[in-house]
Amino acid sequence: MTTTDQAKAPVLHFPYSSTQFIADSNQCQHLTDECIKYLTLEATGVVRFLLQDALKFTRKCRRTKMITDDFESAMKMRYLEPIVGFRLSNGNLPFKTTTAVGTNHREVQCIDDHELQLDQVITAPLPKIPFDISIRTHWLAIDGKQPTINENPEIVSKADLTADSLDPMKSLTKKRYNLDASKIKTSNPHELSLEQQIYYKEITEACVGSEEQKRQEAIASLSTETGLHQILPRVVLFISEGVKVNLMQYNLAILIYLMRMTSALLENKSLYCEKYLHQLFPAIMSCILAKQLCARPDTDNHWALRDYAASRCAQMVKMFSANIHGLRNRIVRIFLRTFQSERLPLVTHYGALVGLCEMGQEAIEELVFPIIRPLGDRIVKSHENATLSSMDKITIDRINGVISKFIPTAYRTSRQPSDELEHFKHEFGSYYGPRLHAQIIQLRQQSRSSSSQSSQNRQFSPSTGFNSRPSILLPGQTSPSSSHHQNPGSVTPSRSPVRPLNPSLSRQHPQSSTVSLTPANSHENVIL
Amino acid sequence: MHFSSSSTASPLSQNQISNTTNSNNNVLFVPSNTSKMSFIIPNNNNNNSSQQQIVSSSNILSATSNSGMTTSINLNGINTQTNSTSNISLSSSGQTSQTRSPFLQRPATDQQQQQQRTTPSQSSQQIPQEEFMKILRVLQDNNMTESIETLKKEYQSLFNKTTSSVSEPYFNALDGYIAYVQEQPDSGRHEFAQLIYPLFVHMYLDLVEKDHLEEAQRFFMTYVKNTLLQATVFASHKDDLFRIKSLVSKEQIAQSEYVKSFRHNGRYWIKLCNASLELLDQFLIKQQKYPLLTKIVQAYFQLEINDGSARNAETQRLLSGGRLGEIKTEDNTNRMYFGLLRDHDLTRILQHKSILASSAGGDNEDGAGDDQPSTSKNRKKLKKDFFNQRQSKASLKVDPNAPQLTRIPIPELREHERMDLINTFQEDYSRMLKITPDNLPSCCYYTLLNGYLEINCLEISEDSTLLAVGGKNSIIYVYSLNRQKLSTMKLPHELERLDKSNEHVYEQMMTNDDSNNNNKDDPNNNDSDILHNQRILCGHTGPIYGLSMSREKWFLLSCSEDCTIRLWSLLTWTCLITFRGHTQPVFDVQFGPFGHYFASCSLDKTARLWCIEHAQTLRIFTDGCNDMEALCFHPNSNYIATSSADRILKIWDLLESKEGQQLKPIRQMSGHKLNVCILKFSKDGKYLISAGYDRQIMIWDCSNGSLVTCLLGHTDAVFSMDLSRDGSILCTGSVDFSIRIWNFGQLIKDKDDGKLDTVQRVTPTSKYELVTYRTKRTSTTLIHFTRRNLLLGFGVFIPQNETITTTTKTKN
Repeated sequence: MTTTDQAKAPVLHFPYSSTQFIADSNQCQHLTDECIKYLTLEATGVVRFLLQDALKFTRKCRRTKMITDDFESAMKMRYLEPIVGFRLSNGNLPFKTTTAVGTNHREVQCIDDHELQLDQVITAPLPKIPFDISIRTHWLAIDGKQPTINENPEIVSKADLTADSLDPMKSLTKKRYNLDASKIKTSNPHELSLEQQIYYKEITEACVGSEEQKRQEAIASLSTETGLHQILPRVVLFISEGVKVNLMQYNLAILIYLMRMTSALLENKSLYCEKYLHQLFPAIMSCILAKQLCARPDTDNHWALRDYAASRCAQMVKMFSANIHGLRNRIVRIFLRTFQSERLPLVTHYGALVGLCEMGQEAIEELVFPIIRPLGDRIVKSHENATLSSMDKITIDRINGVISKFIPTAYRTSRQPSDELEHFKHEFGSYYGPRLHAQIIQLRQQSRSSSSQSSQNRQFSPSTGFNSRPSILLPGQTSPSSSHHQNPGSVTPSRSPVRPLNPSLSRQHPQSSTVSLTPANSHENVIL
Repeated sequence: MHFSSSSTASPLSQNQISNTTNSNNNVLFVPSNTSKMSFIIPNNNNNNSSQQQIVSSSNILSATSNSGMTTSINLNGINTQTNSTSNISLSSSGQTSQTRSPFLQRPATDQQQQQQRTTPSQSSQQIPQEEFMKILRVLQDNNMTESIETLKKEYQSLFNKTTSSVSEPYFNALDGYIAYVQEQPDSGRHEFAQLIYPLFVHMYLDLVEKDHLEEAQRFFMTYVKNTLLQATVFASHKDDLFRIKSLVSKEQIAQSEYVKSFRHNGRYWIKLCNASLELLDQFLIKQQKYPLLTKIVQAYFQLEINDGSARNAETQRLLSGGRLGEIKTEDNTNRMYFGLLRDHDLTRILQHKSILASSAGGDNEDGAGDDQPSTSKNRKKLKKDFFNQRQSKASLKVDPNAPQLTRIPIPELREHERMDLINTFQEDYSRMLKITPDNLPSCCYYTLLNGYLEINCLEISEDSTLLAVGGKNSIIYVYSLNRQKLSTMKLPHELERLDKSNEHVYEQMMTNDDSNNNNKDDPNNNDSDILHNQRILCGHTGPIYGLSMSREKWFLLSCSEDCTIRLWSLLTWTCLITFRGHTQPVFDVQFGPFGHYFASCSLDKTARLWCIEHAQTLRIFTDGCNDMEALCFHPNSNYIATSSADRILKIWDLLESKEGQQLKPIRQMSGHKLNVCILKFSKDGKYLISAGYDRQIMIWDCSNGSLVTCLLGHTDAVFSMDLSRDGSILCTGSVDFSIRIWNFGQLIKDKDDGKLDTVQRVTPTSKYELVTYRTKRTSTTLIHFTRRNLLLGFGVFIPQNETITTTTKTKN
């Protein structure tokens, strides 16, 4: 390709002026123009011949790039003295441009040949020793199939790998050329190779073991290895079963480790977890919403687990709701349903609240705002109750913390700054109304004072956001007096406050969306 | 449009034509008397030279008559012999113009005459430079400034006109020819298009030689930028176009190797069918519309008639690409003994396995009880039976294509070599994996890290246990790929003490005292590094370009930029001999299939045959003006194949030629469009496979030098290739980071069945491609099938950011 390009370009030669200059600087001032022209062409020709010779060496060495050594070899071949010092330094030409002193100031390229101080050279630290040649081996292909390991190119064909990870059974039973359809149906053992079995054992042991160092390595391996789709179902099963068991035993540490494994699986780009959501979601939801996660709930920090699981849950919803319609709806519904029930403990409310808040601005605006008032009512009620346990107290503190963490910022971006206390009391009830009001006022003042410029921008420039958002929120928010009485949990799918990601599709197939969600009864598996 | 019924094609009519033209003194065509080709444009050296003599003498004559005038013409830089418009007749004397014109017209054609007749008035107005200067001086003396100005202007315009018209005939002629090609019917157009490229090059060189650089460059650009031509005629000569373009002066043309090999290394060979040739004859000779074309064709071209109808355009495209066109059919007619030698052929052992088992097995049962090949004595016995058996059987079937055993003397197999053969046969060949489309080979890949731009070449031993790496820093590294250590042989005085009848004498010859040291190191690099040992061979003073290991792993050959070849012992790890003889960097070296002989090729335009027991060259195969770049030994050790810079593959016979006769290649094959990187003979010796920078994998039939097929599929240069041990699978590695596996056996089977008709069309390559393996960022520079048909790939990792030459891919 390059050769044709070169052939097309006009013939290059050195500028005549540079030959002139070289002649001048070598005390040959009176060369005629003819002479200069001849010399230039001659010099160009010599360089061209050398380049063509250098190309021979480049090609012989199976390279696609010519290096200075090739040119040196070409010069040697023609019995020319090799030029020393014209090495590329980091791929750059070692020239610098200066202006020549003379009658007419011309730009001159010269070698950057600065003087070195001897003591500097002596005292300078030794340069890094270049790496020695080393050899690594790996299997490029096994029986005509390239294994998905780090040494091989990442994804040979995306479709192939996706199919493989979605249905590992197929690749195991399928022979490359004599594909027998009936065979697939009859033979079902999903066997793992010995290496995979060992890997599974090592990984699971390391993940729930006592050594933090090993655990980190295992987690890193889970999140980066490319060939894991064969053992993915096992790992997922391990997580889901592990959560079930350890939830009963209030083993907080193990639960946290399992959640970290889940997170690692989600991070791994070569894995596709869609098929295993029916196992993963119940596990995660349990960790968010469970009544009790540890033996001593008042002292142990099970809040961290709830927060962590909630953020993973939000991440998964974000990742998969594009492919699985109604996923978000279903998850949201589970969270909202917890607020319906009076008998559920406040910790569950806490989990649901965090889970919703983690889903982002939109979810907070549409879902959390209406909840706050009933939640406040419940808290007030439990305050009135004389037998308020210490656990409940901590939970209330935590809930307050979450609300003051998420709500004010969300409120600030969603509403115009006509902050009236009455309005707040109306919307958020008497418990949270005043608190939020105070916080939001403070927040607005802060932002205003910190940078008036940016606050102005925030108020005026995202006008599109202001125009669109309240209009969407209208049914829920402009008549809060009516809506806040309505129980948020009773929202039916058709009137769901959740804006579907793909409205046209979900409206057309409300049924199919539920069908396509594989964990069809996932919320029933949640251990509350 | 150029047809005339009288000249339809027979030697007789051609005779007439030439006779008539002879009488007209326009001649240049003489019917050829060669029996093979019914029509060849002859060398006609005699004719040309005599004519030139006439012309030159005429010039001398005219020069003597009015010397001032002729010199002035030469000052204009116009060659009076070739250019019609440059025939300036001088206004000063009608007499001279008359006397000169017949001389000038003699070499010129009718058309030129016409042109001259039509433009006498114009040319007569022209004033040569000296005259002009004289007039100017006179005017200046008389202070006639206005007249000076006008005169200058007028002169300038006239003068420029003449110079621009220098290239005009060239443009006209080539345009005319291209137009003529376009007029031809589709079926035969490509036949005529073959001439465009060489015509173009010769014209360009002519222009440059006449010091009309700018015109020449304009000429070059006009045609190279023509997209139609680019796609067709220039496509196979991209590399040379660049070379041509950089020639900008007479001196450079004189120096250029390319021009040497293009102009003076023979004629540009073009194959045409009969009908096309007659049309061409019409156009070039009879009509003489473009004398320039005729002249170039006569001087530099050789046309060969193909029987039957015109070849397919695709076939022609495939075979084009050689610097001097195609290959003379006659050159490929000599007999080549491509069959294999019986005694040394491992695959034959396989055939005789059953015979061996029945006869030798019976013996064993009586003697040793069972046929366990556990002791070497047993093996020896087995082997003796085996070889005896085969000799008796061999007389039954003789391969007609095999050369006689004594044709090229080959030393007897040594004891240990025979042992090794038997071992190989028993342990590996019987367990060889049969590769089929359903049973694709596994591939183990060795990635060399930190070696980008440092490693030049790789070589692996036949039994896949040793890897030799030749570096830019003139060092050879030898690695052991299995867990065996690379031990040194004991010193002579220690060897003398050994009991030679001991069956473990081979093991005892090696020192094993360094095993302790290695054991200490082992815990440090166990598992992480599979390499247990490494040796360094120093001695060369320039980059290593080629390596070759003998089959028994005793010797390693290396060739280098320092023009020498070194023979290293892999037992003592020292250099044994330095072979001197080449005068330029040596590019490739290879052991013969049975050791003993080896061949090398070099930039000094020779390939040489050597023997490890002599320091002198045995044979020199020289190729005039083309560098030899790669070579390959035929499996029967009677031939070598080389690839040279003119992109023509040549097969040379190692047998001594008759006295005084220059060694000529026995086969030549053109078809590659860029340099060839690697050549391999098929396992049965019948086919030659070549691949290179032009991404084509071409398979040639050695029996007649014809192209079997061309496999396309790689998207970049192909650097490495190997055939599976049973010869049925071809594997190629490329710089496009892929390894492709081709069903070579199927291809040959189809060819033998006649299902494969390459002559008509290109084989759909997807039919024979089995699978593609991709590497991450490693271009495979060596690929190798082990004895059991496991595929090994070797390549140097190319770092992502090429400015950083060191990779940080080491394990943390």
